[in-house]
Amino acid sequence: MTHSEVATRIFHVRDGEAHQFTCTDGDSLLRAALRAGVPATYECNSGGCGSCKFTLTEGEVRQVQDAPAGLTDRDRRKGRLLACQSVPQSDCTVSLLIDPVDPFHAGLSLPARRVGEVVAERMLTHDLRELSLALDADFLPGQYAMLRRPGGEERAYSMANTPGTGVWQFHIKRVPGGAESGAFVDEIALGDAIEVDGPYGHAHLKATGRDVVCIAGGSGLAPMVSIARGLAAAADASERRLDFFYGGRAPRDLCAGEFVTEVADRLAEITLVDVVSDEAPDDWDGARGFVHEAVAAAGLTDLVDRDIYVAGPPPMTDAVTRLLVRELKVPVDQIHYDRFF
Amino acid sequence: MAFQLVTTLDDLWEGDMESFEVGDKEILVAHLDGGEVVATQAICPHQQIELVEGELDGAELTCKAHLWQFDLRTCKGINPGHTEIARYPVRVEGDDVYVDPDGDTPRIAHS
Repeated sequence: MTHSEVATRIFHVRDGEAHQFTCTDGDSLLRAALRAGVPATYECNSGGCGSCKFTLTEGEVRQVQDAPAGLTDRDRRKGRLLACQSVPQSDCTVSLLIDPVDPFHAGLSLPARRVGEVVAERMLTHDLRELSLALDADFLPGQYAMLRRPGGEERAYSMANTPGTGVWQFHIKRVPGGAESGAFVDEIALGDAIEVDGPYGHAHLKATGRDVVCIAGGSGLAPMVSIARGLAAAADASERRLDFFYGGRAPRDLCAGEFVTEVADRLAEITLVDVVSDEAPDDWDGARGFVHEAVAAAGLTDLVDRDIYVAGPPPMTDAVTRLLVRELKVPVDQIHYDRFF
Repeated sequence: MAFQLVTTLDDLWEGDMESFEVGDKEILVAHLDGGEVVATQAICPHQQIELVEGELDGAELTCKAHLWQFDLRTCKGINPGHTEIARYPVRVEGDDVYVDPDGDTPRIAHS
């Protein structure tokens, strides 16, 4: 973290509304806006999704990544930039898109940088580790934070627990060749201090009174567990049905059972579908294929009346949302996910 | 400002769409199967995503980001149904496609 960046004034002019805020500590334009309570549009906060595009009218910004995936050639030709990848170097005037106040945002906390000590850890599978960081701050079930280990680079990980326990819990999957995820799974130890910037994300639990479907693949388990726990803690939990889908490559990747069991008593009904995409061993009696295929095969007849939460690798999220929107005609307003692509 | 020459049917075949800067606006022009030419806003009303990077299937336009779908014959949302996109006046003279950028205003909508 650098503290050398100048304080920056930003004016937002779209929709005839102007906001001014200060940007310090090397914050990106996006994070500075969010910390100041200006709800700029965004999803991934990592350069991938393209939701935080803006145009610079005046001033200077430094780019974190030269060619973030969230900017197309067309965007570049038109001079658009990503707010999550732009660090103001002077006073700036920009035009960026503001989210309206979401009716379900009551209780949404502004993101802040904190340091959390690792107070508990365990392996959930051969490559998925649960880390609990002591943090006395609020978030909503389904949100994520930017984590940085000492000497490491920042990565986005979702919380798996519910707020109010003094702990933020993460499930981190070792990505082949991934320096950060590998270190979080294999090297980080009890007592280590992790820098945590959050909470971020829109795919948090909404109190709509609808029944819920959680669809997770691979590293997407944590936010779906958080959603399930949040749903189970809600006042109307005993009236809610939850169908939970979790996909992995092989049976050894699957570990959602304990979390589903944990919340089962408090919900009216709960189902779990485990699905493996690789060739399954003979003793596997669960579903085989991709997660979206398992969702289609489940034949839930009331999907258009559900809230559906989705998290996982981009190809899985893409296949699931396409199935839900294009084939099953689920209203897009009821499908909740943060795109990291 | 009135009608401006934007493209030609020779460049924009049936089933094609392309985005253009017309006056001070970014406008998507689509040549629908059957021959109708429609001009609408280039950016999805939801977020800052170019609609031209989505998919055009008949008159159904799907944004690549969150799969918001629009019926270009009416410029109304299919899913979500509560949204709509701008519709700019189009005039086709011979092969030339003219659009009036002052004929409408881009919408912003939220999920």
